[in-house]
Amino acid sequence: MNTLEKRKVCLLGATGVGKTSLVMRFVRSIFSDQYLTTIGTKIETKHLTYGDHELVLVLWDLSGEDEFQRVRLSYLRGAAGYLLVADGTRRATVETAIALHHVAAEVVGDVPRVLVLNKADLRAFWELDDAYERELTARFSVFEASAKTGAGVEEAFRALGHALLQR
Amino acid sequence: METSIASSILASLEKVVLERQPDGTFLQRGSAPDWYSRMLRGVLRANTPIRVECMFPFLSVFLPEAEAVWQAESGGLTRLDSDLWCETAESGEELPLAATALLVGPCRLLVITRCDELFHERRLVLQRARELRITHDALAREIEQKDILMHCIVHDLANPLQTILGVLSSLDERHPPGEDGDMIALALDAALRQRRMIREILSVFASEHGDLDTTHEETAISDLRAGILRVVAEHELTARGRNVRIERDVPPLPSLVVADEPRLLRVLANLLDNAVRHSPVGGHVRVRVREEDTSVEVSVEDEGPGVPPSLATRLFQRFGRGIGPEAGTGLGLYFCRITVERWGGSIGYAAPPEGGARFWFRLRKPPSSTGTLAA
Repeated sequence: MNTLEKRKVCLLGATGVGKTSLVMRFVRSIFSDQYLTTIGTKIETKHLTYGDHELVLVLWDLSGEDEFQRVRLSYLRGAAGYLLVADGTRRATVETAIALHHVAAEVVGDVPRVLVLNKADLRAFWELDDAYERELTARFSVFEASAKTGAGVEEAFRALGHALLQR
Repeated sequence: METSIASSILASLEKVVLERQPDGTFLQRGSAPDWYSRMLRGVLRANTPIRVECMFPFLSVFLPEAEAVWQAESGGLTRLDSDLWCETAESGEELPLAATALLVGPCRLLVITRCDELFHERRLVLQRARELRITHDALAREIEQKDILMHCIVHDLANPLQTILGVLSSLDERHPPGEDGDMIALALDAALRQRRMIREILSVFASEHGDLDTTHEETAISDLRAGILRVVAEHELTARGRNVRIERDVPPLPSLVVADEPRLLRVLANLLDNAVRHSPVGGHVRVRVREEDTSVEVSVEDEGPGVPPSLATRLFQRFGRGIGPEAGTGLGLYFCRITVERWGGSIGYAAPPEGGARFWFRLRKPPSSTGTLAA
């Protein structure tokens, strides 16, 4: 390996969108149907290889944003990038992700980020119409993913990792 | 000896005590709990200086905040607690942790505690709250869908009714003699009543679902005095039929309020209709307007039996209707409440000591030189 780099990446999104499930799928290749809410912050690491480069992603899985708990902005400090996560079956969670994007950008600046629309296995129940998805695609790197089946998960994280190495 | 006991107690409480060194590294003080010892595998000696932020990445955001404690002058902040965070040990074991920064004499201490119980209790409460929120949202969506379905059904019911009304009106205009005429009049009356009820239901639906066009905005302004005069005039014929007299006490000049005219007329009509319907034969209904500094109050009083106390608390709720032949759909007063509240006003009921019923609502006066007079 020529290089080894370590980068902090935060996962941001509303409650119950599947941030922890995406991390568990990506890091440990497991998925559980049982919903366990995240308390505070959960930290995991994952090694990725891009040719001669090895990248260590330190994933900060932050507790979901809702009326019971707010995301602590100080936890974003030092983040090289972030994953915005939304649940395609709940349009409001996309709005929350976009709002968190604006907040995060104020703290960490214009850093690489991707928007993951989770629960692609429930595509038939999505509340997003084509026009809205086109609008999102124009603003973000959007990945449709399913923590349950694993589809699109690796791609989303790898795309963010690739963008981090470009900087 | 005492130090050794204290150290063992801390370890058995799942706490590790680290002392910050001038170069930013930390040294372990006292015994370490098992979970920490397992994490230290690979570190040669327990008193090797370590970079805790490398061992626990979460501390990279806590340590800068902790400096406020460690650098404090005497009398300043001497303790700071972190939020909970969770590390995953190499074995896959989940470690819920919390850190505390302390200044004890000259020692700058960082205490890291494994707190499984607190973590699981907090998770239980938060998870329950979030599950309830998700259930609530799903139910709200389901109710909304059912409301829309009901709206469609009621709307469709109104179409054939228009034909029935047309036919009955044509028959009525021929003035058929005897029993036929009475039956047609009866059927026409029932059909008109049914149309009123359907309109009431559709009005409520429109209000609840924000079906507001430009004249229904919260900034629309209407002349309350003109509205009262119009609605009273419309109800005088019905009132005379019951030998009820409507008395009005309105200001001589236009009285502008924040409200849109079509709905204001429906609110007034609802209250006046109720008052006339519940008035005894030969009774009086009084409509009064009282100007206040920033609002205008309208009251409608009748001399009927009043509202039973058991019903008074839910008068303005959906389907909070009374009993007996005079009871409506249970949506009229509900419509009045949600409409008046949308304009920033209030509505209520009072039982006058002398008997009867007194309904009132209060609407905001518009800020001077703003708003548009709704047509």
